[in-house]
This record gives sequence, C-alpha cells and structure tokens, in this order.
Amino acid sequence: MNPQTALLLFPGLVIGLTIHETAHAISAKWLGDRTAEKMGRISLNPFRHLSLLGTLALFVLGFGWGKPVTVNLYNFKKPKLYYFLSSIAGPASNLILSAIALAVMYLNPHRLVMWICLSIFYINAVLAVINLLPVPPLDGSKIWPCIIPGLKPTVSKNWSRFWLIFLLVALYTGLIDKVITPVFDFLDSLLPAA
Amino acid sequence: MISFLKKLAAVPVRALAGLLDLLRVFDTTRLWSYCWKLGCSPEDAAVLLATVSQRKGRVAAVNIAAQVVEKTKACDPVAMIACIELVNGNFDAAHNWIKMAEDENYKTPENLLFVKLLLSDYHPEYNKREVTEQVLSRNDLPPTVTHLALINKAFMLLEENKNVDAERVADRILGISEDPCARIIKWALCIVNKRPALAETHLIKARQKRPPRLLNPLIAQACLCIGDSDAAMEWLYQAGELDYKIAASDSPVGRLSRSQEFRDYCRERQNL
Repeated sequence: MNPQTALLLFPGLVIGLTIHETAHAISAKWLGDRTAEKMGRISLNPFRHLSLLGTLALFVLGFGWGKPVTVNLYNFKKPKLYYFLSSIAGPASNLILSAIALAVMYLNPHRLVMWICLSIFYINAVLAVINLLPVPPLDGSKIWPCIIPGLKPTVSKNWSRFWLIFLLVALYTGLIDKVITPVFDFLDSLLPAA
Repeated sequence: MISFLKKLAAVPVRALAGLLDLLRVFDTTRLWSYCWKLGCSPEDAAVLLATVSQRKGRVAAVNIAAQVVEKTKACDPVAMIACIELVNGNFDAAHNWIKMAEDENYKTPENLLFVKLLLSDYHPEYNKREVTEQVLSRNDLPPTVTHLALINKAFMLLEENKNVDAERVADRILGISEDPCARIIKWALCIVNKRPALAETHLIKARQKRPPRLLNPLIAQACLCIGDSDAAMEWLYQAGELDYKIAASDSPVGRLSRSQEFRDYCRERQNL
C-alpha cells in the first residue's frame, strides 16, 4: 500500500478500531459480563484498543485489527447467544459508522471533512466484512461457532492454528484480495458522484 | 507530561516484546524490564516477573519482586510472584506475599483471587469454599478464574450429594468448552445413576483432553466425592507417579495419596 493511501486510511482505522472494540466491551457489559469494563476497554482512548501488529497489518495487508476484548462467557446467562451478540457488536458498529460517514458525504461537506468521512467509510466497511471471516483473532472465529449447531463457542488452539495457516495461504495465493476487491468495488459504487 | 511521554514510549517496546514472546526464540527479559521502567504499569510488572522466572529461574524473579511490588503498589505483580512461589512448592512464601499485599491495601485485590483459589488446596489459611463463592459472586474476573471456581463448585456439590446442581454446573462449563474436569463430574453422576455406557462416553472424551497421569487423580477425587474410596485408590494407583502438586495438596485426593491405607493398597497391587 502506498503511503498516501495509508495516510488516508489511518484516521478511519483509529476511529473504526476504537469504536469496534468499545462496542464489544459495552455489549458484554450490557449482557452481564464486566471483565472488559474492568480492564478499561470501555474507552474512546485509541491507545487502549490499537495493537501494533493489527495496525501494521493495515498498511501491509490492507486490513487490520485491535487488541482483542476479553469476554468471560461464564458470566453470560445464555453463553452462546450472548457471546454471538457481543462478538457481532464490533462489526455492527463498523457498519453503522460506515453508513453515517456515507450519509455525511452526501451532504457535500468541507474537503477535510469529506476526506475523513471517506477514510471512515472505507475502513469501517472493510473492518466489518473482514471481521466476519472465521479466522482467529477476527470476530468471525467467535461468531460462526455460535451460529453452527453442535459447536462450542470457544475455539481450540488446534483450530486457531489451522485457520492461521489458512490465512497465510490465502494471503500468499491472493485469495484475500478476491474478498477485499469486490468489497471495495461495491463501496466505490455507493460514493456520491462528485 | 513526562509520565505520559514515558507511557507512550512503552507502547512500541511492549508490542515488540509481545511479538518476540510469540516467536519464543529471544530472551525478552530486558525488553519487559524497559517496558516496566517506562510505563510502571502493574500488568507489565507481572509479565516481567513471569518472564524473569521463566528465563532465569525463581530466585531471580524473587530478587526483583520486592522492588517491583513496592513501586507499583498493585496486586497484579503480587499475584504473579505468589503463583511462581506456589508452582515451586513454597506455599508459605506465596501466602506471605498475599498477606503483605492485603495488609498494605494494594490496588486491585480481586486479582489475588486466582492465586488464593489455587493456594486453598495447600494452605490452611484459605478456605476453598469461601474463596470459590467470592469468585462466583463477581462478574468482572477473567474466564480462567471463574472456570476454576466453577470446577471447585461442581466437586463440592457432588460431595454434598447435590447431584442435580452439580450436573447443572458441569453442563454450564461443557456448554462453553470441552473440559475434562466437567466430563469427570458427568462421569461420576452417570456412575451414581447406574448408566455405565454413558459414563464410558464421558470418560473417553475426558481422556482425549488429558493424559492418565493428570486425569486419574481427578477421577479419584470424583470417586471420593461419591463415596467410593476403593475405586478412588485404584484410579490413583493407575495414575502411576503422581504430580507433586497433587501429592502435596490438602484435597481429599492429596490426603488419600499420602495415607497408609493407600500405601498398603499399592503394595498389594504390586504383589499381584
């Protein structure tokens, strides 16, 4: 990724990841688990949420992630359902943020605002989509086991290793590009003509 | 301002140390030491103690612990050094660290609950039931702590013949992860309810997760809970050489493993 694009995406990443991780923490608290709150994860301070590796990945791979929020499933009355809800809260918050940024762009704001909104729009939409992939540490690795009957919500280490190898193979063979490119094409089609 | 800048400078150092820890090739002690000196956070202090203990041994960790604990005045590093002492079999030393933190009113005392829970098997100062209830009354502790407390609770309920409640706790654990301890609770309940086929299924699943040397003492504990001490001795005998943590514990299995009755049983089995 060239430095100009990276600079364009950076504000979106900071805002997107902060909101994403805070959404996980807040939803977990609402559903009965205050572990993340105690760890200081209900915060709009980006330093509490950004991970160096996940941020660097944005510039190298085109997508990134934040520090995972610790959720204690034993505190949930309905572990599978509530874990699903707290896991999906992150991508959902990104989609909402992306939609808000798009709406602001249609109001034809100042160039600087337009630039920030464009960044928020792209990054948050990509964050929402990428996080649905069932690869640890992405949210999809928590979401899908909660939906598929018979699976337990916590992923075993062997399962994580399998998906990590899958991710590396997907990156090497360009499979990830095949997921991201249509997303970007679709997002481009949503932008105001100007 | 200087404090903020130092904390900011600690961020990349922490990230680098974390990354190198993942690779498990480099000695990250110095990096964690820089990180702790810059950020002075209790979490970094705990990681520093764990890294020093892992790389340079218990004595090196104990040597820096007093300074680290004094500076942070938080329970995170105290819990870590107490854990290090506990793993090395120094139960009184672990207790002294905890007592000191409580006497000095260090921050985040709830972070001591995990080590207290572990220590309750070895030190008379800690009541297992009380600590378990303390953990289960909270909803802001890490999953490992709640998990351990739930396992303890299930065994306690089994011992009190509250089989329905014990099964409910075991099911709660198994609904979240495949856990051999919870499987053994289910196995014991099947034995009580005379359902040997289902008991065998649970046992097979537990065996997939834990080797006999560690699983058999658990089965023995379950047998003791349901009042079958003969079966408990047989399972314990089959475990072979016991893990020192089990042999030293004050749990029913620990006591059984040290008893004359069990020694006689082992002698008899060897003569067969």
